[in-house]
Amino acid sequence: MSEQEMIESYIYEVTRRVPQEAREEIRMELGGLIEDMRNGEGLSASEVLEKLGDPAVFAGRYGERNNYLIGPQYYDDYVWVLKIVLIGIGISAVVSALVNGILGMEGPQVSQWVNLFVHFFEELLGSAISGALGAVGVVTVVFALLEWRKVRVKVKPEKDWTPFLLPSVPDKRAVINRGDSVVSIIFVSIFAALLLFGPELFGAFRYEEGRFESIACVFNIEKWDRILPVFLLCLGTGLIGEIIRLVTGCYCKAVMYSTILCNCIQVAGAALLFYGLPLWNPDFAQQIKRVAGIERFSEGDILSFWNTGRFNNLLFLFILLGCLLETGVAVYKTLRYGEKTGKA
Amino acid sequence: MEKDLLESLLSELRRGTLILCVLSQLGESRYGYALVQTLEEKGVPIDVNTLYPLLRRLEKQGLLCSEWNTQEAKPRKYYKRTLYGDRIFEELVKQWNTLSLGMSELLGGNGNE
Repeated sequence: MSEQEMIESYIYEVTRRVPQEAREEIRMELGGLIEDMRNGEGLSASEVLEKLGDPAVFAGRYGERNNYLIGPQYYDDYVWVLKIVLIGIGISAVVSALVNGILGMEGPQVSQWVNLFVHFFEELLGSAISGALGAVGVVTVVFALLEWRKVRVKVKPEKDWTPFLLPSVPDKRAVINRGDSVVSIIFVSIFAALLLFGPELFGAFRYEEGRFESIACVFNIEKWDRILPVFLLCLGTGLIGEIIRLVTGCYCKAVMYSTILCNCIQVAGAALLFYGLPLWNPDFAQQIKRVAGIERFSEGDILSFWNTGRFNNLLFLFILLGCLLETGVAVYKTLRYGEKTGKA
Repeated sequence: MEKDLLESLLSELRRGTLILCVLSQLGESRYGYALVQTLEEKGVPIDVNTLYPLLRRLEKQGLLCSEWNTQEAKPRKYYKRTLYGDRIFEELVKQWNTLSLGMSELLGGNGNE
């Protein structure tokens, strides 16, 4: 690399890291500086550049943009949520790998146990790594958005802090139980991971001749590629809602609006799953019947309702009521107790 | 270890005085490299990769104004204190004098007790 090329490359490495609008001026100024240093101190190009130091450090000192994704204010919560989600993913990866391994055994022989052992670790590694990467991605994006929004808000002039600006301690009835959010996050993570890695685990099994055998899966695995994204959207929305609750810590307008929005998305997703997509395995009842040797279901048998639509109506009603209840509680507690907290 | 700690404490000490050093020399127009040399001659060396971003920041804060001089062989950006910069500089000098008096008191006549 010639001296001129080295200088051009250095200037490029600095300017590409500074905001667009400042680039041209910094480029000119830096070019002049390097020339001055070479002429004034009789240094070679490489000596001058060595004196100027790492271009990334130089550019960083212009400090015109945040060089972090999640700042100290959100960092603790971020790490905390990440831990919970990863534990959830870990548990579900172990469970699904174990169940799939046992299902794959063809007898109680030693070789089968060795097979189980090998498959268990293979599957565990595969599902845990991909699940963990996905989870880290989702949680990071949510927190980065929170951070970004806060930064934007902070650009507005702030009042000088006085003790009178301290928010009052939230009303006990407005405080959100951290444990509830943790349980929800763990449940959502486990459920999402199971849907992702082992949807066939949701079904009927039988134990015969020393091995488990899958009889039928409740979900329509053939159409799973269309169903899974809607499922994950619903669960992901729920996860985002819970993270907002966890970070806020008490009922306030942010929690109220996010609960309303998340529940609307979840109800719409559930409606799509139950009424718009072929969610259930249409042959589930028939497959059970065949294996169990049942001629016909007796009246009132729960399986006789399969494919009748009543099953869907019941489940959808259950979800709808759950969402309405959660929204109702969030709206009531925010309006009744949340206003006093100062955060509302 | 002790050397590293001392280095970092010294650089922290210097960092606090940098703005005052730079403002003090910009009552008249100077370009970046000339300022580096002046400060070095007066025994207050400053890293070039610290000074240039600092000049830009002070300009953004309204303490300095700048102008490109294209009359010479190569274009150079000249910086100078604004009126607002003058006022802030005077205030900083006052504070510096009070502080250095206080420091002398604290450290004793010879700089230590």
